Amino acid sequence: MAGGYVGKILEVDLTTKTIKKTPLNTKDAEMFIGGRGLGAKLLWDRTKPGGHYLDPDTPICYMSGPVNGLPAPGAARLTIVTRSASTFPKSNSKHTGIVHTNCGGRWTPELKFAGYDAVIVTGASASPVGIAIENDDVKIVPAGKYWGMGTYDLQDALDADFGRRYQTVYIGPAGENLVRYANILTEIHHACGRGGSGAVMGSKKLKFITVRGTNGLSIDNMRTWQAANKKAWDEVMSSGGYNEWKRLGTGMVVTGSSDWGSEAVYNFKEGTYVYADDISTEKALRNLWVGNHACFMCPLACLHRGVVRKGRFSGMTHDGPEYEGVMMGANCGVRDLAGWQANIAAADDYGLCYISMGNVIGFVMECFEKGVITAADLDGISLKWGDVDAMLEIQKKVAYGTGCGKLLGQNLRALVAAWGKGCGDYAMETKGQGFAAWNVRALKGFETTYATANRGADHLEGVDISIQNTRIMNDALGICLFQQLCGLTPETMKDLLNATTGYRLGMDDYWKTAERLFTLERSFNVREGFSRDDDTIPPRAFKEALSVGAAKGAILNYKDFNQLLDKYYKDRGWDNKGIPTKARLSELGLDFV
Amino acid sequence: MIDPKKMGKKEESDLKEKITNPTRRDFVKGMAIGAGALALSPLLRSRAEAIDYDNFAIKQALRGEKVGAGRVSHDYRLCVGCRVCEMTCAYYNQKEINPFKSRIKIYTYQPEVWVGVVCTQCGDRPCMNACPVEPDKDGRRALYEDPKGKGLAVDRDRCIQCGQCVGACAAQRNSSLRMTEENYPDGCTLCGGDPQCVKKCPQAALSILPRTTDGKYAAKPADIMAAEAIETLYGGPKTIVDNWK
Repeated sequence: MAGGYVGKILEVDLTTKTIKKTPLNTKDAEMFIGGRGLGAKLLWDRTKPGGHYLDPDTPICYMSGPVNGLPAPGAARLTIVTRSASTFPKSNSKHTGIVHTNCGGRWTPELKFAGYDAVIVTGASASPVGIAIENDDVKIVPAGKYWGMGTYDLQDALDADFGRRYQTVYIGPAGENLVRYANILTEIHHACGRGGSGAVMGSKKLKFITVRGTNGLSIDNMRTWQAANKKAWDEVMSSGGYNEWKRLGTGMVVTGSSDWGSEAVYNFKEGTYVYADDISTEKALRNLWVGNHACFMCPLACLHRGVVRKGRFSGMTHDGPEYEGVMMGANCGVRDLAGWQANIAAADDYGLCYISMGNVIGFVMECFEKGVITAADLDGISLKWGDVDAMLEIQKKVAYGTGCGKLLGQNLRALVAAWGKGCGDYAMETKGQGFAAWNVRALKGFETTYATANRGADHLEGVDISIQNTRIMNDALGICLFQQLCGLTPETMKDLLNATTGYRLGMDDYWKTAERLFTLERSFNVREGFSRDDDTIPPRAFKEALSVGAAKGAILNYKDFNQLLDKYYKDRGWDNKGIPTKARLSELGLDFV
Repeated sequence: MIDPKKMGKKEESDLKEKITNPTRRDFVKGMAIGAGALALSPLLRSRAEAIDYDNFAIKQALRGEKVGAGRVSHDYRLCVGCRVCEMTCAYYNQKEINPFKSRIKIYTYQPEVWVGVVCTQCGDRPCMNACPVEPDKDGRRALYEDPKGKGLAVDRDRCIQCGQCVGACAAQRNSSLRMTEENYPDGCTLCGGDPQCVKKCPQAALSILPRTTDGKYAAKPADIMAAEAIETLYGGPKTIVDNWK
């Protein structure tokens, strides 16, 4: 076995309660690397066209990358690949696209120390279960007593029952109730958020997977590894932004992004939030935070542990806020820092993706303001801009699927279909997936990556193909993209990969691999009926210009957008319907597609 | 912060010269070593960052002076739970990429704090006193203090693998002394006087402090330390979610 990989995949079928350990296909591993890439290949192999995310035989793949668990900076990312609960083609709303969603924490390294590169769960159990892994010992355990628990209580219960050295991924009540933007969390706040993977886990009645490992990992070439690793740590820790990342994390751009006009404000109506100072990270730093939080092997420690010290939420402890929390803040017109924090904490406790939840709440607030709906549609809740208590009530209804929560827990398309009256114009989604907190009008290039991202509107894909490719390799290797933002170069990552696994990839091969992974994901979506019609940006970005701030007047137009899309397809080697060409597929080694 | 990449050769060597110059060395030597290092550490740390990511680089000069009876101290206020120390310890001491083999362990508690369980080299050495092996001519039992690094050392030829040292640590201190898979005690050797975990900690949460006479405060069990950490950082265990439900 090449270094880096452990060489074993754990397959659990919850219908028949069988556990299988299969060897890793080394050829696939070399072609698709790991994490997001290998996950896409496994999903491709194990699904038939036209499947649904709630089908019991839909596999959910918990993937690690070859560098996970090794002492490289930020080598902690868990990538979950499955069918998305919130990515749909326009041509057929019964089909679902691919989702890759990742989070940090300490779970993936522990999985590799236990001796597995990936866990693939298929089937559905009749009663709630969990999976407990300790090295070779894998058990399906009943989880009736944990079912219904929020993540705060669940983490405590698992710590008490299994021990503090176990690492666990789990779902909250939202996942159990199949909310289509439920997430999978570890350590209460690291969330695999986008794409509703929590609903897939919930449909299998799988509450948690807990892991403990005591085996070592190997590296193919220790000498080159040490040189590459030294370089990697040097690049990160000597970069100019290192101290800022450590002090403020992603939240440092809450006010910055507002100033550039690129924030999500009032359901993306504006890009500049006039009250941004009220929810600024400096304020959080001084009023909320007690210390940092890092994922496995991360020197940046960009997360912050906070506690609310006064007011009605006093005593509440939670991580953050981070930049994407703006979806619950500026996007919903919130000005109350503690109330914002409470909403973020509630979302994590319920197991809701706060990006999508914030998007839905912002949309509902706008519908309420415009008279599309009344309080009667929301079980008597007046959902006005910035009302943190109403937001908390809505979240609870969504998580438990009660009253109006049943509908709100679907997605924006379902809301538009139910309410009509032109509200589709300001439903901010691509491929059904809600927008994250970057406003495309003020950011050149974001419109193409938001439109073409395979899991739907995706905030992590940068501004062009090269950044999309960089990020996909991060997810494949298992290295956090923030290391990249803080100085780690793709060249060093390639060296790390080569040293770990014994591959001899040059930079060209590295980028070609990225193309291959991205095209495979695209091909999966094409197989499910996605095409150019789904690579869209919502009408609001074309119809309404921003009206305040530095980006005042910024607006997109269809002609430019279509030209950009044409160019994008051409650069990717796809036809102008957005379908990868046969020639391109065989060039990339994807002949099986 | 000085960017090492932009720093000229001359400046760099000047800086190194400054750090390792004999005057300071003598000065540090002259002070009660632990306290001196502690007082200087903010100053030293900023310099260290300027040269290398290695926060402990500067303290190499101190180590050259034989830090007497030191110990690794874990600061729960600065720890971020990255486990770099565990990986470093396991790789340096056992040549394995496996934090399970580490002699320092980081435990997570909720609300989130990390408590490091690491040997505090207690002055009264309950582990060594528990060793039933007859002392040799140097007064060493099977578990003894390494005269060079001042850490724990095991004489595997004489060890009878009874586990009484481990039991004493668990009963009286923080359980940092454990058995290896081959059933020998596995205690902190201070890496021969150059603790790698301290050197690599990116958050400077680990440091070298002077040994205390009995180590009873520093070597409290993880659960008790965690309660204290939660009190310090969050003002006590909180009813985290009650106020929105």
